[in-house]
Amino acid sequence: MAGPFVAKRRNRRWMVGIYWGMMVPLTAFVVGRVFARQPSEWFMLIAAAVMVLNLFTLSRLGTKPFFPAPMLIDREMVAFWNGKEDLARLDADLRLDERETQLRDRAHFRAYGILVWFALGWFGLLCVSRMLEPAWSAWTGPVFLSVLIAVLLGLPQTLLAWNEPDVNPTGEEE
Amino acid sequence: MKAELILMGKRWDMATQSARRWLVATIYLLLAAILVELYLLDHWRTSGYYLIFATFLINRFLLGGYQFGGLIKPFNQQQPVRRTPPTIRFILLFGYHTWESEPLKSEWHNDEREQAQRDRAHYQAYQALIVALLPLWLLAAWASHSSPLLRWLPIPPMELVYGLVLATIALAITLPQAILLWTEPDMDSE
Repeated sequence: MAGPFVAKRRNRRWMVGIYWGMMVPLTAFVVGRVFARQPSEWFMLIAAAVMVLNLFTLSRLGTKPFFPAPMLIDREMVAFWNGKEDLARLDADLRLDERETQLRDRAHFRAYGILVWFALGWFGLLCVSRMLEPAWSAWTGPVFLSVLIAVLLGLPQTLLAWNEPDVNPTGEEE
Repeated sequence: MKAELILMGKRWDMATQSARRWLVATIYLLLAAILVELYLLDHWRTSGYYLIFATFLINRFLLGGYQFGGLIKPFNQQQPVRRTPPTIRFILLFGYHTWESEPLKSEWHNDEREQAQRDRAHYQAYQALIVALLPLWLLAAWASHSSPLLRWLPIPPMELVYGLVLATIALAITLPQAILLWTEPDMDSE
């Protein structure tokens, strides 16, 4: 984690709250459209919203990219504007050390557990709804996938940002 | 991870990577066959749930991880609940005997290395799930539009989406264990 703002856990928790505060009503809106059998733009809408929210909130949380190197387009831009030396420094800055790799993996383990419970809860709901009204099965797939993807893309980062303690200016945890 | 699997009273050596890979491949082929069979039976209308129940049984007896009993130790680091011994009448009625002895700590507790392996397997499974879900999501979107792109499909698109959602749930419950079994090298024979 880096940056004075995201060094404080309280600030990160605010950011996480804002992220999910936007994501939940948006997903509910999309699900409402599927219920109302107006699925014209629901998937494009949620895809765009997830990308925008990821860009403006999750990238500000200070968690390093989970993949070893930043996105290719970022690398090209950095190399174009700042030269190859800066690109090498960026790569070194963004490389996960052993502790960060462990934290990343642990965040995914926790997120995965939540998703499994979510999937099983959905399955239970599906069983009940199919008994009550078989026609509901037409929207269960799209709704399940919309909610799952909305949760899937942001959960590990937000768990990491929520749980990590404050970091002091020297980079050590308090 | 256990080095052997006891199934129907027979011991199966699982110390080698190739044996574990055979097991994983067989399990997924079996799940795929069940999915197809259930579709042929009633288009998953009432039988789709059996796939998930089959997955629970596979975890309980073969894979472990999310349940105590298979090759992988439980992920949650909690001691399995000790079941009360079944009554004689119950055994006679159902011919069923639940596990009742207190397990050793080594049977359910993951040490630091095993926790790291478990977390890494979940990270990899998470990435795989995202990659698998995005095309599925696109398919769901097209299916809800009755898109002409899907006219070539031999089954109705919404039925396909429902079947793939069932398969996704089954995959999510088994994938981390499968990754662990698939990637861990041969165990020492000592």
